[in-house]
Amino acid sequence: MTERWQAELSKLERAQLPTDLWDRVGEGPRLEPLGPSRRSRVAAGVAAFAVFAVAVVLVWRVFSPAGTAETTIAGADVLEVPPRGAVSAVFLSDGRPVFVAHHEDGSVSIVDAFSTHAQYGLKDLVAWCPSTREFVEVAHEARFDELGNWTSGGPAPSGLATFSFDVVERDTNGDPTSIQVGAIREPSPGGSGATTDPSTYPEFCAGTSDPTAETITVRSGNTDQVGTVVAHAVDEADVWPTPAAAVAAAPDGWIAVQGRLLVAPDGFVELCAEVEGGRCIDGATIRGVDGVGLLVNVVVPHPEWYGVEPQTWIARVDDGLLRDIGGIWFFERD
Amino acid sequence: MQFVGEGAADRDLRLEARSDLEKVYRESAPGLWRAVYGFAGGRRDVAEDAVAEAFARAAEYFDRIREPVPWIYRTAFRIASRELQRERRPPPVMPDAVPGVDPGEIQDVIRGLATLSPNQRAAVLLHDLEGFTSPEVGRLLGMSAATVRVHLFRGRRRLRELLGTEEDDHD
Repeated sequence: MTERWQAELSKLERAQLPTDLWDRVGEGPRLEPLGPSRRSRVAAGVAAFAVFAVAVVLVWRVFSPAGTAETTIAGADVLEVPPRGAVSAVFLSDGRPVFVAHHEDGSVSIVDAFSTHAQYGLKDLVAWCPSTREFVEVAHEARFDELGNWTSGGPAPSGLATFSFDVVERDTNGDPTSIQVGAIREPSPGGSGATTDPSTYPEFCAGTSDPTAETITVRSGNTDQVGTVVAHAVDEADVWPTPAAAVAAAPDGWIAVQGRLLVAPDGFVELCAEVEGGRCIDGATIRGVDGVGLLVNVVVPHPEWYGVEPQTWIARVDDGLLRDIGGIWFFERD
Repeated sequence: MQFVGEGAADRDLRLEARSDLEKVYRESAPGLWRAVYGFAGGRRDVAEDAVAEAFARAAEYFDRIREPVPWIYRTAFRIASRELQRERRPPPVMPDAVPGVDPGEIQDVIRGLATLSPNQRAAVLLHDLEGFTSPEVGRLLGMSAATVRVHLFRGRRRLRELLGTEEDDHD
């Protein structure tokens, strides 16, 4: 039996690529530099707009010699629900990383991907372990159940925050297939304030029995074990090439940005596109990080942790500075 | 395409990159454009912007992109998605005219595609229109083959509900 929708779809096969499109490619990127303002087509011929656009381009080139990137991490507030029993890692429209957990009983939770533990002010992300059906903070192995409640390990001062939501669409079994994200809720109480003994930790996310899970391989920062998890990975096109460019554009939401952390002896912390002779190139100052603590306890004894190559970080831009910064570079892809 | 302000060695590398990008364009752009045109609800301007911009950005970063084709696909779909989201316009009643097809002929399928989620729409177009396998679609869109199959299943089911089978036409 021929499906009518397939026959209809095949009519699109005849659509031909406009012949002049390659010339347009040759003109270089020309959409507005993906700043916060909305694209305007109507004003394209207006002189005032032209002057403004030229100014924007000039400023952009000064601050962003390496090119452009999306402003915030691409995401949505209407989320698809994965099949029952599965958990998906997604980004909200403001770029915030969250998990959608479709529990075995058919209910759904939206769980924040940020642990409430942020050592020296650096945010830690959690990942989903399909093998043990729990969230794990990859850096320190605090563990949380699939509702976001803290269960073991740490430090983690509380459970994970969750989000309210409305169901947009259900399948024939009544399970939600699409949901609209609402307000963030306070994390559940209970946690471990102190660092627990890593030698007592169970095996770290060993394999997965869920063939549909989109997993990557990561290394625990605490026990150095390698595990298989569902985690957030940012597409290359969404990563700002330099912190200076990101801060200059002042995007409203969560961004991914490449850079090296540079902590000065006085505790001043910057994220730098490059570090040459101790000098920060195309960098931005970071707010809210305990630079002295980081320097004394991490950077000096473990210089290898932040490596010599720029890594990918998630952060927000606030008044010319970066804040709420966290590394996602320990998520090693297969 | 012009590259100015460079030395001879840089220029050679740029010319080589341009040649490679042209090859990718010749091989991939027709299918990508078709898919993005369907993805954008028959909006020719969005499809052209997305595809041209994706290749233009790829030209800037070409020497640093490990897998150009998936990078360009993901970028084009993301740009199209963002443009549609920014403008928040309902899909046009009639798809924009493009060479090779009569807009009236594809009106139903464009309308059906518009009811799918972006991921479902992209999966159906790349798999069922462009003939990519699920793992290939996953590579192009940055998701697993299993996830692609879930989007395909839901997207096809929705299109079947809306457009039905040939028999439905003769009922």
